[in-house]
Order: sequence, then C-alpha cells, then structure tokens
Amino acid sequence: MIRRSRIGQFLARVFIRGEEAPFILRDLDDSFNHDVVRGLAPADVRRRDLRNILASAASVWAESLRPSAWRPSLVDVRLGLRTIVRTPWLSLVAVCALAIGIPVGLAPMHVVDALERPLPGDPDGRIRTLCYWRDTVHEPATAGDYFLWRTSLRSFGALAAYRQTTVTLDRGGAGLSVSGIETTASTFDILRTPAILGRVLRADDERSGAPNVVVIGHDLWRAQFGGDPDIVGRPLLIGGAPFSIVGVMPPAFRFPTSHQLWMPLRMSDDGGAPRSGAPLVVFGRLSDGVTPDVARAELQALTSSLATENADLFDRLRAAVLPTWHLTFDFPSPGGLRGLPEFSLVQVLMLAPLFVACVNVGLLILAQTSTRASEFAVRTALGAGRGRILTQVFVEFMVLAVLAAGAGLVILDWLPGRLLTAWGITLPYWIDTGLNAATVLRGLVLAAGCAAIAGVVPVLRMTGRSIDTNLRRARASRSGNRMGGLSSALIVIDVAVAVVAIGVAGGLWAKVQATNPSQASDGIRAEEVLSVSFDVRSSQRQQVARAQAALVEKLRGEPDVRAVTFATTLPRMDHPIRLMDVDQDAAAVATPAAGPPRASAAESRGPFKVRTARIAIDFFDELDQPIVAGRGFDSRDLKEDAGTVIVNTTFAQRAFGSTNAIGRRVRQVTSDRTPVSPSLEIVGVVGHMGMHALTPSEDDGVYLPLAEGDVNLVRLAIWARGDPAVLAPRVHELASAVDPNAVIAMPAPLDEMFEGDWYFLRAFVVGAALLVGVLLSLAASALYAILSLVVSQRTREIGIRVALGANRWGIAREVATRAVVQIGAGVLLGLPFVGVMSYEFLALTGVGRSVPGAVTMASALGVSVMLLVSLAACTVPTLRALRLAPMDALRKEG
Amino acid sequence: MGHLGELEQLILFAVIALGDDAYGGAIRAHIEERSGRLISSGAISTTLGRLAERRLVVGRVGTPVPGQAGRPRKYYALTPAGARDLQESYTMIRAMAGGVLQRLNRLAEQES
Repeated sequence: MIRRSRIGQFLARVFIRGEEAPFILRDLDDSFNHDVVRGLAPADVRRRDLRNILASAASVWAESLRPSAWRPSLVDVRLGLRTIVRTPWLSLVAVCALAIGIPVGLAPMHVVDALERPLPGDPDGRIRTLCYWRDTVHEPATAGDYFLWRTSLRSFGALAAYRQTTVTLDRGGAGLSVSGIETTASTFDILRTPAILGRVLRADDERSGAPNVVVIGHDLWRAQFGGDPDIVGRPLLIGGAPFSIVGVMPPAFRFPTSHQLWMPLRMSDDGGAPRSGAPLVVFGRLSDGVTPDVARAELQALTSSLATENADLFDRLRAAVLPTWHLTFDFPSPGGLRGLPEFSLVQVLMLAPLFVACVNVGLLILAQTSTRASEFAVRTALGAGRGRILTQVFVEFMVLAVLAAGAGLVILDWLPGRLLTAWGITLPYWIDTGLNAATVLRGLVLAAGCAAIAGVVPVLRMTGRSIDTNLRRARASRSGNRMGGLSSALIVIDVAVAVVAIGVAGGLWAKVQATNPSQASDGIRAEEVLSVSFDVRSSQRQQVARAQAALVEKLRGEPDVRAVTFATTLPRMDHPIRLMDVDQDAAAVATPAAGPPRASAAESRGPFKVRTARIAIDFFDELDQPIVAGRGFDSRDLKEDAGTVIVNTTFAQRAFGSTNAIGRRVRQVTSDRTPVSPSLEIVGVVGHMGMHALTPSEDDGVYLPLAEGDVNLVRLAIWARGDPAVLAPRVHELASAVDPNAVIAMPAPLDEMFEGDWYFLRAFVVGAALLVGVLLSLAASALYAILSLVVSQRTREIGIRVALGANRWGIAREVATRAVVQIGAGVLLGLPFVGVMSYEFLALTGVGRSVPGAVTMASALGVSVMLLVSLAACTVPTLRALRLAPMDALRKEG
Repeated sequence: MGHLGELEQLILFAVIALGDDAYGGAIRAHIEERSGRLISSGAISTTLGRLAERRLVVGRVGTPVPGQAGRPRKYYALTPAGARDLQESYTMIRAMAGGVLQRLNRLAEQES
C-alpha cells in the first residue's frame, strides 16, 4: 500500500485554506487514489501528489487575492451601520478612542502646515526673508546689510525692512501699550495691501525731518477711535510725541504678526557698512521668473565676496533666503520645523497613541468577533469567500473609523483656537489653525489604517481556516475553547502600556506641582515683586543711562516701594543659555573649602550649559539675596576690563565640586570650545534665584554686571510693600516723566511671569493627561472584555470540574492566578520603560530628573487599577460558572 | 454571452462527459486522459467556483464518505446558461477553424 507523504499532507493542511478547502482536500485524496489504482510507481504517485498539492495551494491563494473578491458595496456600508447600532458600547468606545488618537496623530503635521504658510496674498511664496545663519544660530540682518542688499541684489523686485516696537499711546491721559513696527514704505508695496482709509506709508515719510505719521490697524481704529470715518489726519500722541494718523489698514492685516501700528523707519542714508547698524528684519518679493534658489545663490555670492574682504565678520556666516514664516518664528533650522530631525521623532511619538488605541480597539473587536465566529463560519459555508468577509469587516470598521476621523477632525478644527484663547495666546494673523484639505486627507488615510489594524487583523485570524475547522471552533468558542496566546500577549502589552502611561503622567504631575507659581522655590518673594520692561529708545548711551537711573531713583522714593533694581532677565523668566568653559590653568585658587584644590571629573568634562543674566550691581542686595561665598558686585566690576562674574551654587558645585569657586575663571565658548569671550573671574557665589520656569532650582547660573545705559531695554524688579499690581499705573507715570519716548511694557507680578517653556509644559501636560486618560480607559476596557470573554468561554469546563468534585474556591483561585500572572508580566514589561521614560524622556523635555518617587507611586496606582479591572473581569463570569448546576452547564453549552 | 477561457471550456466539457459523477478528482482524471493536460485540483476547484459565481454551473455537496476524514465531494452540473456559453464558444472556435485546418496541419508539419 502506498502512503501519502507526510510533508504533502502537512503542506495541504497548512496552505489550502478557505471555504473550498475540504472539497479540494477530498479531490487531492481522490487524485492520489486514482494514481494508485492506475498502477503508477509509488515514487511517481508521491511526486504527482506533491505537485498537485503545491499547485492547488498556489491556485487557492491566488484566488483569494483576486481583486473582485475584495470589492466593497453599499450593502457593506449598511451592514457597518447595523453593526454600530447592534453593538453601541463597543462602537462608542472605538469611536471615542480613535477620535482622540486621530487628531493627536495628525497634530504635528497640522501644526507645521499652519505655521509654515505663506502670507495672505502670496500663495506662491514669492515673498522671502533674507538673513544669515552662523552654524545653527540665526543672525538677523542689520541696517547696513539692508542698504547693501537693496542696491546690489537683482533677484528681488523690492526689499523692505522693519523692527518691532511697543509704544505707549496717550488716550485721554492714560497710557496704552500697543505693538507696532517701524518699517520702510516698501513693506506695503511688497504685501500689496492698500489702506481701507487714507493711505499707507510713503518713501518720503522715511526722510529725516519729515512729519511724524502713523498707519493704524483696524482693531485699534474700532476699539480706540470708535471706527471714526474721519480719522485720517487726526493727531495721536505716541510716547509723548505728536503723530498724524494717515491711514487705517484692513481688519485682516496685522503684519508681521499681531501688530496695529506702522510707523516710518528712519535711518541714515547709507545705513553704514555691512553687518553694522541696528538689527532689522529684511524681506522682499522675488523678481518675476527668479526662484528662491537663484536668489539665495546671488545673496551667497555677495556674502562670499564680502567675506574675502572681512573674514572675521563673515566667519562661518551663511546667507539664507527663507519663507516668510521665518519672519516670526526663530526656527533652529533654515529648513523650518520639517527640517528638524526631532520632528520625525515627535511625529512617531504622536502616532504611537493612535497605534495603541488601534491595538486596544482591535482587542475589543477580537472579543466581539469571537462571538461572531459562528456567523462567519456559516457565511463561509454558504459560499462567502474569505476576501468577501474581510472586505465586509473592513468596510464595517471603516464606517466606524470614518466617524471617528470626522469627530477627530472637528476636534482638531475647534480645540486649538479655544486653547489659545483660554491661554491668552495670540497667533500671527496669517496662521489659520482650521482644517485644510491635506489634514482631512491624512485623517482619512489614518482612518483606513485604523480599520486595517483594528478591524481586519482580528478577522484574518477568525477566517484563516477551513469551513469545518471554523464551524468546530465556532461551536468550541461557546464551550470552553480559549482564545489562545494572542489574547494573553495583548493583555500583557496593554498592562505595560497602562503602567508606562500612568508612570509618565505621575512624573508630569509631580513636575507641575514643583513649578506651581504659588511656590516661591527661588528664594524671592515673587508675589511681592512687580516686573516691568523699560525700553529707552535712544542711540545715546548717556541718555539711556540717565533715564534708567532717574526712573530707579524716582521709584525708590515711592512710599509703597521697598526696593528697586534691574537686569536683562529677572528670576523665574527663561534666562538665555550660553556655553561656558572652566579655565583649566586658572592659577588663582583661593582658600579651598576642604583639603587641597582638585579638579573634579565634571571640570574636565565641560563646556557647561549655563543660564545667564546681566544684573545691576545692587541686584542681590535689593532683592535681599545673601552672597554665599566671595562678594557681591560693586562699582569696580563695571570697569571695562573688570571681567568678573558671580555664579550660583549649582554651577559652583557642578564645575568645581568641593573646591572653592572664588577666584576660578570661566569663559564663554562655542560648542567646539572656541572661546568667544575673555576669561572672567568668579568673585562670588549666590543661591538659586530661578533661571527657568520649569527647573527654577536646578539650573547652572552665571551673572554678569550691568551698568545703566549698557542696554536699551531692562527689566525692572520693583519690590512692593503691598500688592505689586497696583504700582503699575504709577510706574507708567514716572517712566513718562523721565522719558516720554520710553516704553513701559508687560507689567506683572513676578510670580505670574512665565515664559516659553511654561506654556510648553502646560500644553504638554494637558495633552499627556488626555492621552493617559484615553490609553488607560482603553487598556482597562479591552482588558475587561478579553478577560471576561476568556473566562466565560470556560463555563462548560468549570461546570464539569465542579460536577466532578473540584473545589470551587480552588477554581476561582486558578482563574484569578492566571489573570494576576498576565498582569504581572505586563508590569515587568512596562517598568523598564517607566524607568527610561522618567529618567530620560522627562529630562529631554526639560521636565527634570527628580521625580522617581511620583513615578513609582503613579505606576503602583496603574498596577492597582489594572489588577482591580482584571479581577472584576474574572469575578462575574467565574461566579456565574460556579453557580451553574452541572447538568445545566452541559445542556447550556451542548 | 460570456467569454470562456480554454481551461473553463475543458472543465465544462469534462462536467458534461462525467454527468452525475462530475467532482474535482474525476474531472482532473478525465481531462488528463482525454487531453494529456495535468491540471491541479486547486485550479479546477477555483475555476468551478468562478463558473458557479457566473451561474454557468451549480455545485452540490455530496454525502461524506467514511475513511476520507469525513470530507465530502462537491459535484457539479452545467446550467442551461453554461451549456449555451460552451456551445457558443465551441461554435466560434469551429467557425474560425473552418476551411483552415488543412493549412494549419501543413504549417504544423513544416514547423516540426
């Protein structure tokens, strides 16, 4: 008797799938038997059989991939809607999860699309800004550059320049701060926007000695002048000087971002040499037929020729011709946000929650499709192909996913505007956070991806067997057959995700608490100090110095003022970051704190990223901050060759360890440690005063002395005896008295001053909280669904075991143990990620490394939640199975 | 009339020839005997499935036979539409071949 090859039988079982499989297998048997009866040699019989099996498998697979088998129809859509109605809770959970996951996944590209838009009226992006980059640092153009470019560059039809300003309007005796720009008249030609009343600026307005004129914005016109149609020609006091209003711009015009005043920019005729003069923003409209690359090449050629004459000034300087969003945003790359490697990372991170949501929804679908196993098996037996069922399920889930994508897109359209309004953030006028066609298209692609992951994969699992197997399993699924290793793996992953999500949320929560504005962690009574920026608009250093000194003096005479000082940046604000190196050969080492001086490991590591501020020499005295070591600044430090700094204790500890920092020297360097400042001697050490909103007590700080007149704009710190906010009008009055042209802006108590990263942290926390909520609910509901299904599928087995005398509590313990083991595996998988996230990711995002306690607590909470959910999921079906009489169990499942 | 491919025509002729005994294994053996072509069971099954979708044949599941893992055979029969399509396909081929067979034979002999 000839036996069929085992390999052939195995291959036939594995590869011949689908509804026709039993008949094909029977035909294979018949063909084999036919060859045997014909009396062929055994080897020939086996060879022909194997060939028949392989060719049959290929035919079956090719047939299942036939495009016509996948064609969706309106019936599928109707079935999808019916499924949603039949399983409302599952549908609701799936839609909610995806409706949050989809906009989160779309957000990075949507934000970049919104930011990287051309100006209104310039759809082709012909308006470009001109600037320089040195390595990765953007360097603005200067007045000298502008004049040179205007006369030399042929790629631009017109060039314009402006600088931003905040001025005080006199409105019936009260001061009103308004943002505006001083600009060349060519700005309006380039933007091609006429005034709705009067005229825009003209070239002759820029002449020195020309009458003071101003063009105002629509909002200012309506709010301050009641929309007076006869506004043109009316006088307006700006910083105490008389101006004449010559025009009103349309409501949609707020160039360059949210500005409401446009005054002529007056410069000397030649503007000086290249790279000299006041910093300006320069932009222009490309000549017809000129591409941005051609313009950049021309600008770079000009820069190179200048560099040959003045190598130091143009060292490593690259000219750039960039899109107009660079007018507003100081992106760290000429390529914009899309050009940053971090963007891809952010995109992946933001898509991760959607993927997790899909997997969890897939788990729920798997649980639900398990209950539909018999439906699929019967439909298959009635002639429906695998492709047909997959198509139907894909379309069913696509209906869900499209609903979710629609909801998600509505959220994406609605939420950003509301959040920005709530946080008081005004976006540049040309940014539109509303939906665009590209975002909608991406949303639909994501929906299709979700449908494929969450809908089709579970059904592939359900339908990848022959009819009889499907029918047997469909019966078995009601009688004790388990869902297998896939569900266990998914449960473990789910728990891990939940633990990680909650752990990170705990870390963020702890950090938000640590940066609570009411907590004066920086040693200053921030709630008693009023911060005001004071800008003296004069090119005469003496005049600036006199005005600054006079205002400080007048404020000190006020009865409600305890102390006054000034600096370029005040505590709790984001201090600029510089790289500093410690001089290795510093000879001047004063009395060591303990033992002989020695270089710490950190000292040789450098350069150090430090936060810096230039401060008045009485800064620490006025704010009642003790000098920990050495001395404070005095008049000696204001001499040009003094070269002294005071460092904070964090920097002293990190750079010098246990050795004394006094007398050691530091200098500012580039990233490749090239010195860019003279060597500076450390004369004092002071405690933390908060140099960063997120990590007020963790930053390394270096303070440099600042004399009156060194800079035009200083921040005044006014320590009030009572509520500092009530001092603001009086500060305005005194400043106007000192210098009518001076600008007082942004008065606010110091404890309310948060910039940059604080907004980032708040946005990050809100986003993370939403995500954690979604992930946790999804993980919990998916875990509940799968566990309760798995346990309920064992009803018959449990009933029989009870009938055979098994201990009821033993069975309950066994079920619970299985769940606990799965939870434990998930926790073990998740904890390393929690560790990595808390120590690396949180540090990377500026949130700091000091939150392991909160992370541990939160992770423990996450584990507890998942354990409770698991036990609840097991309890109900287990109790139900234990209560069933044996005969009932058999009858019910048989 | 729907176009019938060569394999479809072969299978339909085999179904007619086998009558009530037209199942995959028998069809395969019949085609091999009469034409010398060896077609896989899977290809015969999927082709019959497509013909059934076009309502040119109808399938009927036979009674499972003990000893064959309980697997049943699936028997097929031509529908009137299937018969018409096959007839038209065959007539078309005959019409095309009419009067050229002698030349065809000569050409084939030259080739060999």
